[in-house]
Amino acid sequence: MDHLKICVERAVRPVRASEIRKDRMRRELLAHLWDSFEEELGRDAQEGTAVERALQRFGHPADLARALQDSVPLGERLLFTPVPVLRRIEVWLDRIVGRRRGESPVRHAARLASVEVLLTGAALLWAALVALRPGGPQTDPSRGLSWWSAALTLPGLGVFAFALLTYGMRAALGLGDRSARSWRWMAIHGAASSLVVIVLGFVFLALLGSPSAFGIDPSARVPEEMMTIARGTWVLAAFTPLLLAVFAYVSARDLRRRQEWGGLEIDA
Amino acid sequence: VTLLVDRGLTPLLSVAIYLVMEIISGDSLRGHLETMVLSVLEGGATHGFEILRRLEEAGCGALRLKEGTLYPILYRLEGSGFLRGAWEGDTGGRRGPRRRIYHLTKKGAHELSSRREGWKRFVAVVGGIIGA
Repeated sequence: MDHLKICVERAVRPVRASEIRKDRMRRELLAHLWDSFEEELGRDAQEGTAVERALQRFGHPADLARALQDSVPLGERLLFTPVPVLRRIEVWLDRIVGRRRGESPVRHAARLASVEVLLTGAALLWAALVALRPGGPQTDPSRGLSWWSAALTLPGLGVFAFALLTYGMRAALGLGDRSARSWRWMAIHGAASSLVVIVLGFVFLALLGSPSAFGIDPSARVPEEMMTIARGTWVLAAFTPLLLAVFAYVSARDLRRRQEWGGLEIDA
Repeated sequence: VTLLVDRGLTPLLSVAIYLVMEIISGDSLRGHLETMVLSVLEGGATHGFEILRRLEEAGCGALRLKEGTLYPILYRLEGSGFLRGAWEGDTGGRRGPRRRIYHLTKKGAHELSSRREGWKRFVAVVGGIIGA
């Protein structure tokens, strides 16, 4: 099977197109090569000879790559033209946020959360420096301490929870390593994702509404911005299960593609 | 050529048949493949491997093309809306990956009949000139 896959990958990998389109090409070309291979086996060929004949019938991968490229719409071709700098950034990002070999889901989730906290910390530090510069708005930093802490930790907690929920949802969708689809677990993970949004949203609101946060008077009318955040939290919570399922599905497919095709050595 | 000679044909005839087959499997074939694929699918929806088999059968063995080249044609036809493809539900106990089944759309059927008309006119005109 690997010989057939390598031939397919040689034809498909150089094509400038979306991964969805390329995946379809891979699956379909592999199915064809497999049929040819079976046909050759049926003609009393040995396995090695059958592979060789199937590949010969299939044609040269480089010629096929050119023909496949021509079948891709121009807009998509241009959009997926590799840009070396972006490719390097993608590899770099993947190294930072991608799951490492042998890493447990909890550890991966914790690493993602720490990256998020670092990024938010840097953004908050920058915001604080801007606010405290001479001539900037005169605020007492200690009064907004709870808000700053919440802004730093809550998104991190959210990232941690959602990374774990994504792993769980993948398994519930039957896309994990050894899992079958389970509607019950899908519902549980969906409900948990809504709960996370509601809890984080309202903890943030509670902190924002506390007297120490920017000096808001608790007896005063609830500001319109807070009501908007509250309404937004409910709306987001309603859609989160769907978003989680879609994200889990897309990321699982991407992972599977990388595992199945990305590691193939296609250089002759 | 050697295969044909082995089957009892004279070397000259074998070379002639080989050259004709080379011509049919070359550029002249490529231009008409789209229409031939549409025509094959008029006989019923099927997957790429079967489309090739039907093409070869209809061409009495004179059509030869590298099998992979069929797929870019299928993708182009599907992109133009002449075909619609869908993955088969299950492999039906067959080993190997699932295949994609193509069927002719209404637009594809119209396109086929218009290309057929064009081909008939072409054959009538060119045939009249070269005396076929």
